[in-house]
Amino acid sequence: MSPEQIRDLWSRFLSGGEISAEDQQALVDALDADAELRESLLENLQLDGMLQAMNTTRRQGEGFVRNLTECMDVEHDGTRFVQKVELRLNEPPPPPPSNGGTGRRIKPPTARAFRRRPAGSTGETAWKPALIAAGVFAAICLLVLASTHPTPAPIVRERTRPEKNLEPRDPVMPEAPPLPAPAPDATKRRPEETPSAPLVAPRFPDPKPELRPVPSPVEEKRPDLPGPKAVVKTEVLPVNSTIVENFSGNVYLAKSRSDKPRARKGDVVPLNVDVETPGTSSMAFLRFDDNTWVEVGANSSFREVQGSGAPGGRRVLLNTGTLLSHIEKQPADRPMVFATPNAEAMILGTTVRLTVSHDSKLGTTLEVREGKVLLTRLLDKKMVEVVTGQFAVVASAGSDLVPQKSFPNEVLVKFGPSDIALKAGWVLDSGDEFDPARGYGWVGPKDGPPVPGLFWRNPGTGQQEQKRAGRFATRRINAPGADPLKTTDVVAGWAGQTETWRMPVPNGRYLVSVCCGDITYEQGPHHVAVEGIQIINERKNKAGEFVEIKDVPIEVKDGELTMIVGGNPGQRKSSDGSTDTLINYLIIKRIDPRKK
Amino acid sequence: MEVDDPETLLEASRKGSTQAFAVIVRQYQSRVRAYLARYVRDRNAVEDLAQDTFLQAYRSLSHYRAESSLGVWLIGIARNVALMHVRDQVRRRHRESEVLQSALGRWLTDAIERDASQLSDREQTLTALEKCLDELPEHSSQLVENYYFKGRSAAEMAREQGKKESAIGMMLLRIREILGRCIRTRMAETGASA
Repeated sequence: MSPEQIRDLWSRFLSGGEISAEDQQALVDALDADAELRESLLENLQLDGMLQAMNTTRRQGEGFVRNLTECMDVEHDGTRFVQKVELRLNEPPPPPPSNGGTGRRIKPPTARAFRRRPAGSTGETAWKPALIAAGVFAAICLLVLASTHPTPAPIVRERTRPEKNLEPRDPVMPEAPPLPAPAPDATKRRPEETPSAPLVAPRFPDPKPELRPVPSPVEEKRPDLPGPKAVVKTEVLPVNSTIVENFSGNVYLAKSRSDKPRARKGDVVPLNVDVETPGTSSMAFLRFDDNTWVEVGANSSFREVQGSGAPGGRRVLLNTGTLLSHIEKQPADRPMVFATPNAEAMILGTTVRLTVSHDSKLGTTLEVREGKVLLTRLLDKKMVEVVTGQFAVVASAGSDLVPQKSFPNEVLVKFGPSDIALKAGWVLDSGDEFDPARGYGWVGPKDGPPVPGLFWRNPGTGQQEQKRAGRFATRRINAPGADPLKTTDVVAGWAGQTETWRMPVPNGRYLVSVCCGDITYEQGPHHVAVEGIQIINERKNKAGEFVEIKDVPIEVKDGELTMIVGGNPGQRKSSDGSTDTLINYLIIKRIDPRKK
Repeated sequence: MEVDDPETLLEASRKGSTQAFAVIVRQYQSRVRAYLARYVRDRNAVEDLAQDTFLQAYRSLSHYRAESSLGVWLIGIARNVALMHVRDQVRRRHRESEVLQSALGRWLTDAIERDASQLSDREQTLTALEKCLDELPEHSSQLVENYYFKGRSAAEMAREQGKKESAIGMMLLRIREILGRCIRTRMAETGASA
């Protein structure tokens, strides 16, 4: 499919035109294969959206503000009422009647406690919370009754009595009792709101339940309003307010092996309950009370061990699997800690974004996308700071625990001379030795030692020269219309030897694409192996042909992607007798570790 | 409320003034909406997500620490909202076997994830777009005005100009390409990336 056809289809797609399933598939394949064109068309689509949004703002901007303000007013009224109740309920308990200064803990003023206390044994203030609670409860009961009162008589009568007995004022059917008067705060509600839930902040109409915001703790407890005890303590002071905001696949909240109910959106996740996500398409999105969130990836087991109010700060444990988290600023004296079976990551920065993965064989990998984290290897207590754009792997004791430059989702390496023009997003490799600052390169000097017994005729000098090990970059004749990705290369294995290219990357799975060949001459046989997988083996190219291998899945287990180029075990040769491997480009795409 | 100083507005909003927050919404809704519309094609969904964004912001005002500008903070919230929506759409499309929509969701998810480090730039994109629109040649400007701001359909404009509908679509695509280049240039001038 030519670029023009692709753009034509894209234009039809943006205009809402019909595109056949075959064309859709062809378009997707073409755009998957050409990242540059894809980015260009996505930008086009984004501009289309922005232009439409500009129009909407012009036309409906003020209505949007009005609607939003109205909803916030309603929400604000409800919240104010809840805050008032909380304030009254959180008044300090009365002083102990007489405990002789022993410091004995005062029992919280629950309804049960009040009932058991002998009359007259406490001062007047001891009854205040109970009176407030009772008042609130009475209001709730009245409002609940009002909202759930049975439907008036005629409907019931139709079903239970013969039609002839249907009389407007049947003495058998009592009249509906008058509705109780609304609680004072209910007068602030909009007419369409039900008064059945006075403790709930009125909600803005939410057309997408899956996107609903974090419910307040009060709201979470609303369905259970059994009696004064619940009103006094349980309703407003939940133990933990972490919720399952979203999920996919199978997600369980496992209290034990036998007690693991399925998670639902909005579920509160109690402390020390495992969030389990078995299956390759499972995922749970959890949000904490401070807006910090954690996305627990597939086949993972995650647990919140203690909340943010605990003396040591919030502590979570990733037993296995992967998570992505965005951590809001934590109290200075209570830093959040991400633990795995062999490592601990303490959040040092203000806002931190990180991914943690743990595998019993590969160890723990921590990547910090933003912020600063102190990583500790539990076995020997070795610590290292990992900052924005770095990752570190915690494996066995004795192995390196060094932060490395982080790996983006995709690395595009173009091989060729140092003066070539690179397309956006590509990095250059001219065959130079590995440089930690650059983050990739070859093992050993670029210009290797002479290889005994191997000669070639240098066309520049006309002389026979001894071949050398190492690598060199070349620019081929640039034919009109030639793909610039293929007109330069690095030659490795010129003398039949192998050359090793390396790049530190987080452990995990990747897709690797490689291209070998020469636009001008027959070359090969090419040999490329990545992480032990022979991607290209003894493949030769004719002039202008290329061996392009795309998206080969590989797994990195040692924190470094290694590519071995060259070698000629089969002793095959090109027609001119050469055995070079010419590598044009390498693409490494990371497979999201959260999708196992 | 006539005050437009962000500090004052924020302070009042934190204390519960919805009117103060409404001023903030007026100031930033175009940027938030434009950001969301980059990734969400459904106009109604953009509207809903914009509401979600501002409501989440209103509820989280106490967390805003002015380490970034208010606009960048709002775009950050919009990014999270958009990401959740697009991911959800991807799952749904995948189930419904809509090849192109599914792939589009995947590409857009990647794009939103990459946005994390470019929120400040994203906040400025709309301003750049507005300036670039002013620089369009007359004919292109007219086409954009009719299609995007006057709600004329491509079919209607094609009939008037004696062209095929697909030709109008391609003309609009090319105009957007020009706008894209213009935005990139402008952003590069300010050291930002489009």
